[in-house]
Amino acid sequence: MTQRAMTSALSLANRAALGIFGVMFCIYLLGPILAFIPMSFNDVALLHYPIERFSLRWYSNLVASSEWRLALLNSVVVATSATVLATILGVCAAFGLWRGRFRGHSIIMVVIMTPMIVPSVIGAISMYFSFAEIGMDYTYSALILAHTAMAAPIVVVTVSAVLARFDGNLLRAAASLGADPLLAFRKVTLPLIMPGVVSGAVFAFAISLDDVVVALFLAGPDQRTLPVQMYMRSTDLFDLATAAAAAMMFIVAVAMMIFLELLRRRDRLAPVAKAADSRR
Amino acid sequence: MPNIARDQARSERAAKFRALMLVVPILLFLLVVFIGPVVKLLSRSVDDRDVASALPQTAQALAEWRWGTPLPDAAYGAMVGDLRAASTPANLAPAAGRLNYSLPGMRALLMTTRTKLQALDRPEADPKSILISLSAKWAEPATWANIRQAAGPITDFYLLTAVDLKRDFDGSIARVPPSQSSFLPSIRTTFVIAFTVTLLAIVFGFPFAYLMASATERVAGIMMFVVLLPFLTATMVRILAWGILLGREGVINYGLLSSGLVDGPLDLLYNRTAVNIALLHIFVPYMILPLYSVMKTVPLSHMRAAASLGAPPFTAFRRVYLPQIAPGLAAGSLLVFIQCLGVFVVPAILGGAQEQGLPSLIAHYVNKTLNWGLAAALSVILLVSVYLVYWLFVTLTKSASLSLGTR
Amino acid sequence: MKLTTNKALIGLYLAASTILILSSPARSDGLSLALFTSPLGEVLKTAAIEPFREVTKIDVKADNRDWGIGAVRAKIESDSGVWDLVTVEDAEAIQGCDEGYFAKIDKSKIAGLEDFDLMDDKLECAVPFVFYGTVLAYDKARIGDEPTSWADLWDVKKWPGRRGMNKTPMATLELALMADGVERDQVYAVLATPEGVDRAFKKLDELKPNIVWWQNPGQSRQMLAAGEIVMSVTYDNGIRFFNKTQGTNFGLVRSNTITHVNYWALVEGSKNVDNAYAFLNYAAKPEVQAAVTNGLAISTPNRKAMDFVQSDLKPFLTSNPNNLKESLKLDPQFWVDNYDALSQRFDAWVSAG
Repeated sequence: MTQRAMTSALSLANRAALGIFGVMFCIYLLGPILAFIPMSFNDVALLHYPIERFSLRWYSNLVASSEWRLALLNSVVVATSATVLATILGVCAAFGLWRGRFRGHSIIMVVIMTPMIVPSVIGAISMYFSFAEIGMDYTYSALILAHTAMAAPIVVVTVSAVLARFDGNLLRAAASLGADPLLAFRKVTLPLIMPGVVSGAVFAFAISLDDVVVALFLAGPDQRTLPVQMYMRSTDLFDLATAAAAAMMFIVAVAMMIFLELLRRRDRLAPVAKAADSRR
Repeated sequence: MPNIARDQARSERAAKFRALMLVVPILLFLLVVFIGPVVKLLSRSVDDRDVASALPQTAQALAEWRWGTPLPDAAYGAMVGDLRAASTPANLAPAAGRLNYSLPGMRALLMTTRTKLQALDRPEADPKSILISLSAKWAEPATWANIRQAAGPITDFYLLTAVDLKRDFDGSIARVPPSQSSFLPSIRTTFVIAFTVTLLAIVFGFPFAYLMASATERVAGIMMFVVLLPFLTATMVRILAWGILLGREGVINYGLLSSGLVDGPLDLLYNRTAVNIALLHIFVPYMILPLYSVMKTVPLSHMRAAASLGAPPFTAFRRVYLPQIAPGLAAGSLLVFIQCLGVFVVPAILGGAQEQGLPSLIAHYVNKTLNWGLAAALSVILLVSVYLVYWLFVTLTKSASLSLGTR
Repeated sequence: MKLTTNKALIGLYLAASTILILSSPARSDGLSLALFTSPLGEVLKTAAIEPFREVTKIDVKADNRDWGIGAVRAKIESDSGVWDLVTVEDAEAIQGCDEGYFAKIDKSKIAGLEDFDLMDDKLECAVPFVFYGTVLAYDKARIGDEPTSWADLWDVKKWPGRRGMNKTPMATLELALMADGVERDQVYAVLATPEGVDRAFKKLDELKPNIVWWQNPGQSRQMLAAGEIVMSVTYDNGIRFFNKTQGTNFGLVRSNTITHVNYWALVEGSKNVDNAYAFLNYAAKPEVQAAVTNGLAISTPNRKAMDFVQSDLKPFLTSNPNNLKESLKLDPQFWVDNYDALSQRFDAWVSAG
C-alpha cells in the first residue's frame, strides 16, 4: 500500500516535471517568433526591447518599396507555379508507384528522394552551373523548375502515405462498372486521396517559400524572392521592414496551419484508417 | 483457359506499363533538372582539362618528363608556341587559374609572359633563354612539374586538397602543413554540429513526443499546433527571430539583466551556442513528428505489462518500448542529422567564423575564390557523408522513403 | 478506354515539355549593371543611374553583385550576357583583366578622365569611380576613451568586448602589421616575406577570441549599433552614412587608414558596349561624381568634382590631403599575386577552433 502510494507520488512528481518541461519547450518553440513579430510595430529603427512606441511605418515602408513588393510578388509566383508542377508530378508518380508495385520500387524511391537528401547548397550550385550553361540562370523558369524538383518528393511521400490506406478493390469495382482508368482515378481515387494531395501541395508550397539557398544562386535581380531579400537585408542594412516582411510570412504560416487542420478534419479515409488500426 | 491466362497476363503487363509511364515523368524531370546537374558538378572535382587544352604543345612535351631528371629542351619551345597561340588572355585564363591553385604565382607568370612574348620579334629562336630572361621562375623545375601534374585529363588534386593532402612533384602523397590546412577543421565542425543538434533533438524531442502521445486528444492537438506552426514558418523568419532574441540588447539579456542574474549583457550571438539553439529550433519538429507517430501506435499497456511482470522501469523502457519506437527514432535522427550537415544560412547569420562548415566553404569557393574544382571536391565529401548516413538508415529501417509520419 | 488514358499521358508529356522549353524572357536592349550592395549601390542608383535613365531613356537595370566575382565569371562562361558593367575592387579589376573576363576600355572614349588624378591606378580594363578607407570605428555613445590607433584594437584590457573585423586577408594582414609596429611604408615589404606573413598571423592570433568576423560592411555597422561589438574595422564612408541616416554617433580613427579604389569594369562580350560607354561618360562627369560623394561621403577620384562637393564633407573625406597623407594604399598587384595562397591560409586560420 505505502509502496504503491510512493510509486504513484513519484510518478506524479515525474509527470509534473514532464509537464513543466512540456510547457517550457512549447515556449522555446513558439516564443522566439511571438517575440519577434511585435518588433515590426516598433516606431524606433533599431532592434531594441522593450518597444517604446507602436507604429505601422515599417509596413508602409514595405508596401512603398518596389524592391520588397517585387520580392513578395516573386515569392507568390514562384511558389505557386512550383507547387502546381510538383503536385502534378508527385501525384502521378505516387499513383504509378502504388499501382505498379515495381520490383525496383525502393531504387525508384531513392531516386525520387534525391532532392530531399542532397544538401541544398550542392543542389543550388549544381543547378546554377547547369542553368547558366544553357543561359537560363536568372530566369523565372529556372527558379520554378528548381523549386519543383525540391518540392516534388514531399508530394510523393504524402500522397503515397494516403494511398497506402486506399482500398484497391474500389478501382476494380469501378472498372467492372465500365469506368476507364482515368475516369476511375478522377471519380474514385482522387476524391479519397484529396487530403493527401492537398497537404502535399501545402508542404510543397512551404518548401518553395522557405528556400533561401537555391534562390540565392538562381535568382537574378528580377526574381529575388522574399526570403532572399530578407537574407540580403539581414547581412546588410537590416531595418524593421524585414521584421514586417517576417510578420507577413508568419501570417502565411498560420494560414497554412489552419488549412492543414481543416483538411485533417475532412479526411474521408480517416475512418478507414481508424478501422484498420482497430483491427490490428 | 490458357487464353484467359494470357489475356490476364497481357492486361497485367499493360497496367504495369501504364503505371510506369506515370512514374517516368518525375524520374526524367529530376534527372534533367536535379540529378544530372549534381553529377556534373561532382565530375568537376576530377576534371582537369583546362591546362592541356590551353597549352597543348607543352603538355605533350612534358608527358615523358619525370621529376628529378633534366627538363627536355622542347618544353621551352612548346611553351613559347602555346603562349603565342593564345590570341587573347581569355584563352589562357582557365589554365592560368588552375595552375595558380597548385602553385601560387603561376597566373601572373603565364599572363605576363604571354604579354611580353607578344611584343617580341622572334622568340622561337632561343626559347629557353628568352623565357628565363622574362622570369627566373621559368628556370625552376617546380614551375614545369606543376604544369605536368595539371596536364589532366583527370586529377586527384582537388579531392586531395579537400582533405588537406597534396601530391608532391615526385608523385607521393603528403600532408599539407597545419598552417595551410583549411578543410579538415571545417569538416569536423560540420559533423560536430550535426551530432550535437541530433543529440539535443533526441534529448528534447523524445520526452516532448512522449508527452504528446500520452496526452489527451485536446492537449495533443495544442502541442501539435505548437510544433507545426514554427515548422511551417519560413526558416529565415526564425533565424532572424533568434538573431534579435540573443542580442546583447535582446529579450534574453533584457530578462537576465532585469532579474539581476547577470551584471552585464552576455555575448550570446556569433558562437556555437547560438547556432545549436537555432538549429535545434529549426529541426526538432523533424524528430518530434516521426517519434510521435510511432509512439501513438505503441500501447502504453505494454509498458505496464512489463512493469507488472517485475521489470524495473528502465528495463521495461529499454526492452519493450525502445524497440517499438526505434523506426521513428531512426527516421527523426536521420532527418535532423542530414539536414544539419547541409545548413548554410544559420551559421552565416548566427554563427562565428568557427561555425562555418562545409556548405559555407562550398559557397565560398564557388563565389569568392572561383575555385570550382575545389567546391566540387568539397561537395563530394559532403554528399558521400550524407549518403552514407542515408544508406545506414535504409538498411536499418528497410525503407527508402523519408516520411514525417504526421498522418 | 485505353485511348483516353494514353491521350492523358501524351497530354501530360506535352505539358511537361512545354514547361521545360519555356525559354527565358529575352533581355531588351539596354544596360545591365551589377553594383556593390547598399548603401553604395543605392547612392549610385539615385545619383547616377536614375538621372542617366531620365536623360538617355536607356533601360538600365541595376543588380547587386554581393555574391562575389564568381557570378561574373559564370556569366561570361555561359555567354548569357546578363551584366554589362560591374563595380569591382582594385584587385578584382586586375585579375579580371588578366583573365580576360573584363574588356579593355578605350579611355579616349570617356571625356574628362584626365581629371581623375586624385586616385587612379590607370588599369587597362577599369575606370575608377570612388575610393574609401578601411578604418577603426566605434560608437561614441558606448565607448569610454576613444581609441587612436590600430594597436588599440588589440587592447582588450582597456576596451573589453568583442571586435568586428572583415573576413578577408586583404587589409587585415596590413593592419595587423601596423598594429604590431610596422611602419606604414614598410608594410608590403614585410608582407612580401614569409616571416612577415607569419608575423601578421601571430598578431591576429592574439586577438582571435575577441573577433567577430563580418562579410558585409553593413553587418559591422549593425553590430556596432546593436552594441554587439565595442569597435570594428570597417569602411570610413559607411560610418558617416550610417550616422546620418540612422542617427548614431560613431567615431573613427584616421591614422593609418588603408585606402581602396573601386572601378567600373566592362564585361567582355557585352552586347551593349555603346550604352556602357554612354553610362561611363555620364558617371565620370564632375557633377555626377560629386553627387555620389555627397550622398555617401565616399571620395571621388575626379579633381574637378571637388568643386561640387559639400564643404562640410571635405574634411571628412578619404581624399582630404590631411587624411590621405596618413594612409596606406592597398597594393592590388600584391593581392592578385598572393590572394590564393594567403586567403587559403587565412581561411584555415579563421575556421580552426
